[in-house]
Amino acid sequence: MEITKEEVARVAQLSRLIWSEGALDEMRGELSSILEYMRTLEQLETEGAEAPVGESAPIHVVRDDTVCPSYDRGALLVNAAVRNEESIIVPKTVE
Amino acid sequence: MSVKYMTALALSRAIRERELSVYEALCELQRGIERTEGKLHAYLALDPARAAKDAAAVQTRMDRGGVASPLAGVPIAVKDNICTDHLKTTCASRMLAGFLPPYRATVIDKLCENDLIIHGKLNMDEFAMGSTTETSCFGSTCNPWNTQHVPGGSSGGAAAAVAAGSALCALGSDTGGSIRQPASHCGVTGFKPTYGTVSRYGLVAYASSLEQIGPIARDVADCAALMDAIRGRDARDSTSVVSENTPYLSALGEDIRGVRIGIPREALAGDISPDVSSCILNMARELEKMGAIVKECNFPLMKHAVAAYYVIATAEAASNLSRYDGIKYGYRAAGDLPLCELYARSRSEGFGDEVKRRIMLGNFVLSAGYYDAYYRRALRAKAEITACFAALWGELDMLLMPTAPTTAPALGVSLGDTLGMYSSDRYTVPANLAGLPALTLPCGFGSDGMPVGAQLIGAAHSDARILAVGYAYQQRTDHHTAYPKEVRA
Repeated sequence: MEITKEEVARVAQLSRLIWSEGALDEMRGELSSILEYMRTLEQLETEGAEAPVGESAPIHVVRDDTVCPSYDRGALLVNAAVRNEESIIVPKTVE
Repeated sequence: MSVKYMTALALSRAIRERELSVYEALCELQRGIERTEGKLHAYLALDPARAAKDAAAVQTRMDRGGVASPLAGVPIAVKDNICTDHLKTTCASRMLAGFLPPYRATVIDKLCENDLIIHGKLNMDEFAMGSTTETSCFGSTCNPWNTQHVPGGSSGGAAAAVAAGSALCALGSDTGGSIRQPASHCGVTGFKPTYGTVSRYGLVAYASSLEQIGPIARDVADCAALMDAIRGRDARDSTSVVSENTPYLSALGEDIRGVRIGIPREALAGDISPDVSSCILNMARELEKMGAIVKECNFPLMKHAVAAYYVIATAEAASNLSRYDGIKYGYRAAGDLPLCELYARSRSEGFGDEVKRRIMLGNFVLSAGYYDAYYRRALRAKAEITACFAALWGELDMLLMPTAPTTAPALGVSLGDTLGMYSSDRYTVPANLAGLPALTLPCGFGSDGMPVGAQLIGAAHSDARILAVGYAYQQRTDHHTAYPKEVRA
């Protein structure tokens, strides 16, 4: 299946990934050949129920609604690349 | 006996019998790591000071008595996508190169409760996306049987370290074969449990409906003991389930006479190395001699498993990895950029090529106009494959098939052939799609001198039975006791 330049550009936008013109064209070719391979699924007669998540899907654990200690602010902030003592710094989004 | 030749269970026993201390065992292991890392590059992080402190605490508890775990005192290393709050968790990605989790995975808690000592983090394919460990942004791990070859992936660091004796045992994760395939390529034993048996809390998510944490070790008994340590329902993982109380370890030694084992005709047909086929058939003959009933069966849907797997896995990956935006944690692009450009630049610079390829593919199959043609169809294929397995369990107790179609390929040849690499996962992905337990264990060597692994797949929650059959096989054979000569701790 051959996907178009516009389609791959749209997927790059959805993926929030930036590609050079050449790299995007290369990706278009790669995705086309992988998607062609995936079309083998069309041979399957698979009308029926959707797949469960494993055979144990019906079991879902629901936590008790109780108050638990929260994470330490400092331990969380240490992983933010741009921060001050109590906050993560983000670009201004409203002028 | 030197620590490097011991199983984890034997080491814990030796510590109890005061043949050596926990600290002495740890030090000997660390000397082995120093000897091998220059050739292997299995580890991404070590913390000898913390490990020594933990060893002292465990020794005190063992000296006082009352320590129940059969693995008490054993050092263990874990794949670098399992969160540890004292060691960085990088997923072998530039995106998380500096990430120190503020919490730790449930399996880490359980290892500590069982008095194991976490001494290092192991190399892997970036975000567990790959079959060779070559997509690690920190460089590939080499196979200890031949350092010109890959160890497999994505838990390549774990398998290589256990094979070389620079780890006694390890935890990996398996989304489409990432425990079993590297264990097979490195001649060690690896186990993917039934989906839900082990909590995924603290496992950095790739494809949540498919992946499980599991052990890589020298033999089946060590895998069973590790499973007993890490399994169990966890309120922090909504998909975790209650598994049977009886220890898997106590099921080992059960009589396997009469166990019905099927070999799918499709598994030994087509593009498969004759060495691998021959090893599998030899194993089948050995199992027959032990009283198992081995017969051929059909699994026609096997040919669709890779396509279904890569649609579902990449769709989930695209969703799971959308959290990496450069703001709260992870790599952030430099410069005073507008918000959306900051997101895109951080992701484009932080992720490697294979991760970006899978995100693109996942977003494509989920996008308007293609969702039904790819994603919905793959979900239906998953349901069909699950039903196909279920039908087999009426006549069979488990399946025997190769873990990989070839022995470990040479470094540098797989990444240039994306479809070929995906296709080589054809024996491992069916168990993930259906959520089934699967064990890989060494069953011989190829003419290139590289190990061959065989896989046993069973019905959901038949984990103990599969381990028992693997254990019985290892009592009769010595493939699992072979050690690589090229790199040895």
